[in-house]
Amino acid sequence: VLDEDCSFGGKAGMTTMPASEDPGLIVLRVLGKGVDASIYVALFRRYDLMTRELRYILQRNDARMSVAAALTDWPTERLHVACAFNCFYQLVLGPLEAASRKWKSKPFRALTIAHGSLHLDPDRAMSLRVMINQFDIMMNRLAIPAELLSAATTGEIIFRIERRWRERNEDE
Amino acid sequence: MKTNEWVGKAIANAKRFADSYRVEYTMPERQLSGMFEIGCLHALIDFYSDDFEIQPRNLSGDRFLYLTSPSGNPANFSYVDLVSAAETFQLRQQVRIRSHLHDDICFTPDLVVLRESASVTAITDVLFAGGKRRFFFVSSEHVVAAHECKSLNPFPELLIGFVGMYVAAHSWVDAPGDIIDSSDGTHLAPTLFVGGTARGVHVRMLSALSKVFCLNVVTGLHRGSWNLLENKELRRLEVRSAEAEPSEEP
Repeated sequence: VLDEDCSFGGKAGMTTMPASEDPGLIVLRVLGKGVDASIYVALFRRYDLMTRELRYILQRNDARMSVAAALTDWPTERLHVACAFNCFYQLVLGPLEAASRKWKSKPFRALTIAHGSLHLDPDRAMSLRVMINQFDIMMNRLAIPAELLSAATTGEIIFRIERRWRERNEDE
Repeated sequence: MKTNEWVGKAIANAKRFADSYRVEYTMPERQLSGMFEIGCLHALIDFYSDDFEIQPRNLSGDRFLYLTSPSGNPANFSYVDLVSAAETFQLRQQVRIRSHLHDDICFTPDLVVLRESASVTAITDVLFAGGKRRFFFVSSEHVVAAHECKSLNPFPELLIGFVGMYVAAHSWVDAPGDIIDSSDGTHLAPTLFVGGTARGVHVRMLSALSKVFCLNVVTGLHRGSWNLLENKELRRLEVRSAEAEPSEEP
């Protein structure tokens, strides 16, 4: 359920945040606990790049009214959390979602694909679908649009937020 | 809801999700990228299901043994026969290709469709694993289409890298012979499967590449449609079997 009546009290346009108070880092640490070391490093490297880009965009776009207005509902803390979920989705859940689809080919439905110690069969694919579905429900609860998860860069996240804001204003 | 409250809710939700599904999503990086590749394998099999009979081969009981590295002997792993009335093709993963351009140009596409005549050659080379392991490869002369799977966002250098593989893996690019570019073809042209989405100039670049070359770049596969048959713009190939070729009588 989307929290339509959310109003966010954070400071939009705030460009710096101490690491200890960065909610994106906290979310990423929670989600990344136990993942493969190389993925863990990649998660934080991507997050670092995304938040650096965010700082640059917020500083550069100070004068752009449409961005500032679109980000009224998106204080920096919320953008950081969105970046953290984006990193997790892109590097961990995305590839799993690819393998979670229903197996249409009849001969394969009775098979288990053995990839090293990993075994993937239609039942496992279904349990992956359940996990992806729960992730989507969580994003819905937090009012983070799915299109922000597939964004390649922070610039793209801001672009998509701005586009949604523009469309909403045109409708009104 | 104030920002602090929302942040608290986000962290609590993330914790609940991680506690419930950590076991499901925690795996070595190689297996994670393998999962994306398995998704692409299924998409490709579904594409072929319309015109070919799908026959998994070399199984171990009910297990399809997925070759994960070019070091493995392909004879010990499973593959898929794509059977049509005219010819049978093989769909394999991680089989090294030796290029028609030069014997020393060897590389390993993620997925490859081979002619029935293709055979895996094994040689010993002191420059490979000190000559202690065999070097397996298939000649690119037998390659119908080599496909790559990247669970990334597309970027220009990735796309151009795929063009290199397209040129080196497909002898029909320079000398079409019995494999030709055809919108009615039953084979998918060499395809780069990409997990992430493209935007702006990258979208234009993808479109331009598939105009200039007989290849496809399918993006947004983490979330997008995996039904390749729905996409009428995909480039296809026709493979003329020996029996189907017109006789050249004087």
